[in-house]
Amino acid sequence: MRRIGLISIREFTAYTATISFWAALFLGPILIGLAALAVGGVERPPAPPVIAVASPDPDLARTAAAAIGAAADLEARPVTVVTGKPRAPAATTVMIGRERGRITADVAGQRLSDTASALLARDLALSGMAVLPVSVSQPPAPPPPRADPGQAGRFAVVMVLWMNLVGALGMLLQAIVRERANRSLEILLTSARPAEIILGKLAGVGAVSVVVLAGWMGTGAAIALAAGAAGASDAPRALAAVFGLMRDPASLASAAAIYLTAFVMYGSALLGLGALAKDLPAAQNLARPVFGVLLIVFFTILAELRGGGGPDWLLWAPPFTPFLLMIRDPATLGGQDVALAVGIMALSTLAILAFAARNVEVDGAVRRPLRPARS
Amino acid sequence: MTQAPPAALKVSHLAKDYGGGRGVRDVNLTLAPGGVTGFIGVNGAGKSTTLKAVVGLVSPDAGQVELFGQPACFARRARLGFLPEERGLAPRERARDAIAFYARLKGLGRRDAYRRADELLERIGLGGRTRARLGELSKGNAQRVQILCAVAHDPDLLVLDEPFSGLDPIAQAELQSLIAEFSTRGGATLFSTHTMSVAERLCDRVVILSGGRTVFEGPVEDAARHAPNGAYVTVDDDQALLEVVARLEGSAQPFPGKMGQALRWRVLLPEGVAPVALMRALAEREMALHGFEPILANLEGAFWALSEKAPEPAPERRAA
Repeated sequence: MRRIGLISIREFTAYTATISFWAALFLGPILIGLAALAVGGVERPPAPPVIAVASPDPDLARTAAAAIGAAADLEARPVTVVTGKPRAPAATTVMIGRERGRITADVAGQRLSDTASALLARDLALSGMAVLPVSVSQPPAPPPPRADPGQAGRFAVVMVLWMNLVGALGMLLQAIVRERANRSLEILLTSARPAEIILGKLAGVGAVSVVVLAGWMGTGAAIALAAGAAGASDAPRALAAVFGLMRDPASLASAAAIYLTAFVMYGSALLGLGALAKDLPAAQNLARPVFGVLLIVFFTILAELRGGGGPDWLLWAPPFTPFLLMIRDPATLGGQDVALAVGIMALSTLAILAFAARNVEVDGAVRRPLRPARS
Repeated sequence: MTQAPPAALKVSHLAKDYGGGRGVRDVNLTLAPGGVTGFIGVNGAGKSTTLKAVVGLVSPDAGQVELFGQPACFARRARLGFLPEERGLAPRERARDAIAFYARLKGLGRRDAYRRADELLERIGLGGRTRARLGELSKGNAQRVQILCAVAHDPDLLVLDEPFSGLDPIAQAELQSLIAEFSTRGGATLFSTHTMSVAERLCDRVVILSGGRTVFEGPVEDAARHAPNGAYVTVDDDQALLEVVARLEGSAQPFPGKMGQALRWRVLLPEGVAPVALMRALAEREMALHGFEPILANLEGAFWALSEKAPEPAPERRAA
């Protein structure tokens, strides 16, 4: 334990005892924040949806267009209502016709709002010399989105941890390759066990990643609050969601434990692969699949956010487990499924740790198939 | 009657096969406490592999390594200081921190480790540069710091792989003094070297390795007795030389010499035929003699003779 502590402090100091580390820690988020603000400032509002109204009777078409426009004014929703063939693709098309003494309005594409539908029916009914019956047929309403108020917060937490993890893995890879390349790993191995070296490096770089995380969160909060005060964005709302989640001790402990396991699992894999390499280019080649997996994880997180995530069993695939546990709605996760996923992830982590320790322990040449010993 | 202390290090029938004929086949050596043992062999003889097996960086295929009378293990290796052949320290680390770090890993407390680091740096004249980063030091000074890392925890056994290579004469003298002092305090030292003069001056015992096997182990004086009778000779007429040597019932073989020089012959003579007899015979043939150097009864002569006696390696057997 003492040796793990010594190695971790040395690793932590190697990264943090430089001016460039602290400069990057605070300048990075500031630059990203400024860039986001700049992009937000020049961002154009989305074009209003186009509603096309068509009818063989121009009067009916004009009446319908006026009714829909009036409804939009009432609802304070910008829309572009055109009669005839629209220039831009229409989000909604309303076809007005007459059929056996009644007026029909067939809506295609996006539904009209209830107000628009009501005004349309009223104005069309009153458009002629006599009041005519009007029927407005709307496309079926899409199912209402399931309420998941915690999703935004969970997504923000997962993304922050994902970014932090990727950065920390890069540091871990360098930490082992540097010592493998300059041969100081050999001296270290005569003084500490392989597992102690692995755990020491994980703890040291893990501590660095916590400092980075705290720095980013702090600077990010300052930027978001400043942006909120200036009315430039709705960043404070997302931030409130993140900190709201953080205020819940159970959620916080759960996120920390999951992140820790993910860090140990991916970190051990990187250390194990890095120990196989003789220099940085070789290590980067070996580590590429791990970063590839992390990229797939990233897109899976995005897909989960849009409700189109991977199959349920993906939860049990260790590379995905920590992120899916954090992003998925806790209400939809069964206790047994979670226990199984955590168990598989813990076993995988132990196996990867053993793989890493073995790779650190022995020189590359020793692992080759051996001939029988002769004495 | 007091019992003799156990050997600081005992290596028995050590074998390690890397494939392709590399590795060691049968290495045996014993180090008594307080002894200084030179580990000699040509490049590829298996010195570094043996030293790595002693410190636990290589797991042997066969044989045994004992430290202080017990099978080697991680805990016993804490009493050992190691300097690898290929030096390596983090260039951004400060000299004082590096020495203290390795001392603390081996069990010293923080205060003791830093006090020891300061003492050692002072001793080698780097007392004013304790805050210097290793990357800022000269190569020689960085190497001296690495040696200090190996001795900082006051080990009972020092294992040094080519410790003198890359050091200037002053640093070499410092290291010799450090090893001598370490030996006086009862510490055992095993170091590999190619420099016979250093081994002769510093060691009480030598182990000569050839073809992955121990071909000699014993006191330096005993090794010197294996030096052959003969001379190194450089002449114009190589054919005439071979005829003279054959007449004296000796043997001759080309010997590595300096670049650009004429061929140098190593002539071995039978017991009782002094090198002066060879010189006289060459003079009688009126041969132009460019060089004549009797083989001295020293370690270098013994090294060549013993290396030649090494048995041929067994044919390779590959695992399926």
